[in-house]
Amino acid sequence: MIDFAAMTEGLRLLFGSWSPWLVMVPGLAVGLIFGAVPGLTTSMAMVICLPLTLYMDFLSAIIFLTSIFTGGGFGCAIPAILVNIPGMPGAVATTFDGYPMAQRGEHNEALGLGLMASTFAEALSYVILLLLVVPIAAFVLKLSSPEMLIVGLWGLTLIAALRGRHYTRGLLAGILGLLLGTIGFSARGDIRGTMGIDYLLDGIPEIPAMMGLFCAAELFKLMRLDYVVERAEARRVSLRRILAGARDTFRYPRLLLRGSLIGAFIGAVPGVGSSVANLLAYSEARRTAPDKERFGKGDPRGVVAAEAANSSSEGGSMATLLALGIPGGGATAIMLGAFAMHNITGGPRFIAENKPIVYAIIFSNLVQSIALMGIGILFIYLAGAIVKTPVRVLVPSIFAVSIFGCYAITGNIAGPVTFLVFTLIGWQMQRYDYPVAATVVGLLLAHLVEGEALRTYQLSGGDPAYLLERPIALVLLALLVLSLVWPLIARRFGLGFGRQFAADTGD
Amino acid sequence: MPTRLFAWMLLLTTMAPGTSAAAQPYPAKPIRILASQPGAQVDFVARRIAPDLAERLGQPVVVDNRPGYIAVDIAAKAQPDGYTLAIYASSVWISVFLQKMPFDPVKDLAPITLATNAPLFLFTHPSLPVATVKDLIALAKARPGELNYGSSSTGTSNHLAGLLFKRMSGVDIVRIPYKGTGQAAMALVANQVQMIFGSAAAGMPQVKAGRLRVLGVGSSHRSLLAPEVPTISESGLPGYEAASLSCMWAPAGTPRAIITRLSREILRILNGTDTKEKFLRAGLETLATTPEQTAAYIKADMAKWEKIIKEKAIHSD
Repeated sequence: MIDFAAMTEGLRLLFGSWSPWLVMVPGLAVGLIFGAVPGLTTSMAMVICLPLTLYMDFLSAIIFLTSIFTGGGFGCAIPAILVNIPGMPGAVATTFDGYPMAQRGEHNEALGLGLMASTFAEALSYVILLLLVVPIAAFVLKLSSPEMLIVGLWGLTLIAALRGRHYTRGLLAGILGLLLGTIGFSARGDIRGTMGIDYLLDGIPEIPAMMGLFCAAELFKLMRLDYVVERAEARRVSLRRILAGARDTFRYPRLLLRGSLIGAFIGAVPGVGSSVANLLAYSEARRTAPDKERFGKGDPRGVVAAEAANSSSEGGSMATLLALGIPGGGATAIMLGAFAMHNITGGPRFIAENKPIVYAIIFSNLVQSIALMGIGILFIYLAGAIVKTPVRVLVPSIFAVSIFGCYAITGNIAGPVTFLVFTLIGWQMQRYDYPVAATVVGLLLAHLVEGEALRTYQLSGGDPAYLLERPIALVLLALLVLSLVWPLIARRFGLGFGRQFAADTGD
Repeated sequence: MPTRLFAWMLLLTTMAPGTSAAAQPYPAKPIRILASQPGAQVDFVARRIAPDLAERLGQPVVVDNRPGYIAVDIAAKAQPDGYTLAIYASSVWISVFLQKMPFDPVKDLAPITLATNAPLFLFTHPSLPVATVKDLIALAKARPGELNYGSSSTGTSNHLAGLLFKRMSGVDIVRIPYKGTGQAAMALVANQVQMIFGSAAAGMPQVKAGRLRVLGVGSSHRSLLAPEVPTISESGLPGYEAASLSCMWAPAGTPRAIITRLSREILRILNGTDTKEKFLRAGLETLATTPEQTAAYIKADMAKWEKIIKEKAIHSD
């Protein structure tokens, strides 16, 4: 699997010149900023920087782009933790426990946890890539619509976990999200629920809607406070506490590992992406915890699992790009564009023909994760100013930045309008105790689940026996069903989890 | 209402320099070319043309990326003064039959040139026992409803190419719509679908690695990109032609003299050997038509697709 001659050549490429190292730090910084500002995304940063890569050699160009990718993987966690607004859809689950920690004054620890989990997971995903790039790509080819449908359904079960205080309201909020997600063109080409508004033909813009829901929910709550963190002495940014958080990450090695693996796996599946990885990892962490009622109230484990998954999805998504030359998502599509700009053809033979470059890319990403640790801490210092900012300044600022971000996403007035409409919806939901997070999960997954359901139906010709031909789908389905009924079985037979479940439902 | 307000603001901002520019010879200020997402084919074409055009006109030429049809919509509603141009794929004029568009691609736009053609190749999975389009049609007729073709979203060139194939050959193949061409290509490599219509860039590397087979190209003549590949027309489906073109427009009502000037300069750029080579390496053939030829082509193409789309009621395909 490992070609040592090519590896040495790769190292020589990487260390033989300054240029790959010069672009790494700027790339990470750009990624952190674009990840952290709500409404700006990593793909957007990569697109904007794509023309710059023309002036770099091929290796530096790819390293620059992957640095942006890496920076964004942690950047999006910063606003998620500090103000409960995910910087990108990939950090939705990070808010669930990250923000309650910040409210308790543990934002330093939470950011440290997030940074360490991101760093570790990113590095791990590239180690996996180093060892298994070809098998991963071959495995991904075996996944088709039925498998992805089940992964999507698994993500939807998270809605039940996000129910808040009332079970039905959680469910209703989730269903609302799913229904909103069906607006626009269906995969079949039918137009639904656009109310005659042309802007909705492509569906509700997900990111502005998500920001609106989270933003409103939080900002209206914040307005009653003077500061995000109420205790003045807790507002300081402290390197000691960030590092303590970073160290704490390793108290949950299993969660860290599982989150990273889920992320790398989901990342490799085309068209799914880090937001699903982030949600699934969180939901798995919560589901398997013996004391799941602590999740959602500022449990470090939630932050670790969620942040590990969204960062490791980067390595996963590189697998199909490198091994097959097929991009699975927006960011890798832009990288393939950079390939073309340097007259390099991506494809199944890319790895065989460019082994040293592939090794150099992988090694540079290992270095990037270490560099991210340093730059990330500096960045936390800057971002930490958020908790020291009085709410009367903070709220309007976030509002303004969000509106600009939404305009940037859609390129027209539809973004800001969507944001405002969803701000109102989110505010009312919050007021009547409907969990907005459930709506966001529904909205993010609706497209995936519906599209895959339709494709499964078409590929199978409507014959359920088709599923029997797909062993991976059957295994996934069995696992899904088991994970749903396990608490019931466990309770019936008095196993460990059962008592927790009883406590969980008893309240 | 906010759109109108925005339009007014836009108008106000363009008005001040606009009045002074009227007295000066064209071009007196920077020109912008609207294109879709960065990295997309038309963006690549726009970015290739822009620097040369700037040099020839003596004014900066800026490529402005806006997602989807918004790029064309902005140009359609811009001042017809030659300072706002748009470049987009042929789907602009075919989409009018599929969805309500915020602009009329014939009435609101003045064509300048068809810049490039990205030939669509018909790729199949190697496990399918076919070597020619004729074999494929025979196989599909023997197994109606069993073969799937992958496409990206409704109304894209690869979807329409499949639809035309279905209509002209009379076979029953099932469309599986994916989110993008990448996913459709992946599904073909994995043999989830048995055929796709795709660009050279999407499929040829896979063909070289033996993961896909190419049966033909959808153009009227063999492609420079792969001269050994027959046209679909000669390989078993006479008269078949489907393409993915890029077209450049100015807003309707742009003075004749400006269109002529732009057309002259742009055609010179497109016909340069350097440009042709660069396009070819990116999987694009240079077309470079005059405004008249472009208008005539669009008219004929619209007539062809209107018939097919109305007949098949595509949106529920």
